[in-house]
Amino acid sequence: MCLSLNLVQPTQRLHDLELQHLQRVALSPHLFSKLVDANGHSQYEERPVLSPKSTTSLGGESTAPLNGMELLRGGRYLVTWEGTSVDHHLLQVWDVGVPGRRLLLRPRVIGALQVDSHEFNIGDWVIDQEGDSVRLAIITNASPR
Amino acid sequence: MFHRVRIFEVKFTEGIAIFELLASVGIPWDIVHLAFHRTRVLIQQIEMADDTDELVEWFTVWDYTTQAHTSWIASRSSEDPIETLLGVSGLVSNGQVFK
Repeated sequence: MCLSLNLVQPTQRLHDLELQHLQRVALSPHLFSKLVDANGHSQYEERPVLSPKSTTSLGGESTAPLNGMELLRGGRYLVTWEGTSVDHHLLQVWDVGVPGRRLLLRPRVIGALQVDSHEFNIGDWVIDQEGDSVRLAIITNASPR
Repeated sequence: MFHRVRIFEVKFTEGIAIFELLASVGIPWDIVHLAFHRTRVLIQQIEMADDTDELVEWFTVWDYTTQAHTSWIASRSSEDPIETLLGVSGLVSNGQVFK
């Protein structure tokens, strides 16, 4: 089931998981459905806001605005994109901790990409995950030379 | 102004993530939508014609492993471009339909 639903790949290997973690992963679709069923409503009626299971802060010295983020399948790695529209764009991959446990108090950056462009369209990035592959497409704008 | 689509693969090895540039392509008009289908990327672009008020919409499928691509266009009224977008679908070599 974990493989067919791509619950852990590509960012974690199934055979590397401890039994407790594997159980948690296997239960995650059921737990999510249960959460939605208990708190959702088909008639779009207002419902209480869900409480976070845990929270953490992305550290660092940067004060640049965070333009977007996406949690990769498996739930451990978060990709963020920060920067202004003209001079600074940085994509970072954060390790926020193993799902099913508390988030790391200090998530750490495990990879970064400085985008070499003087303008980066807001929202123009797509992440695709299939099997073991994580691919990222970004759009940059540049003036003709 | 022109636009560039860059494809990266994010590789996870020994606790670190590495961005590896796989391919890059220049695109002449504003890109409004991107979608992956394995090694192919669907790119939807909008071109505003200079002399009329019509939008020209380009769809391009680009295979970033071979650089092969194919494009087609559709004219749209600028009055209601969003409402009239067409769905896109096609066939890949094994017969699977993508949309």
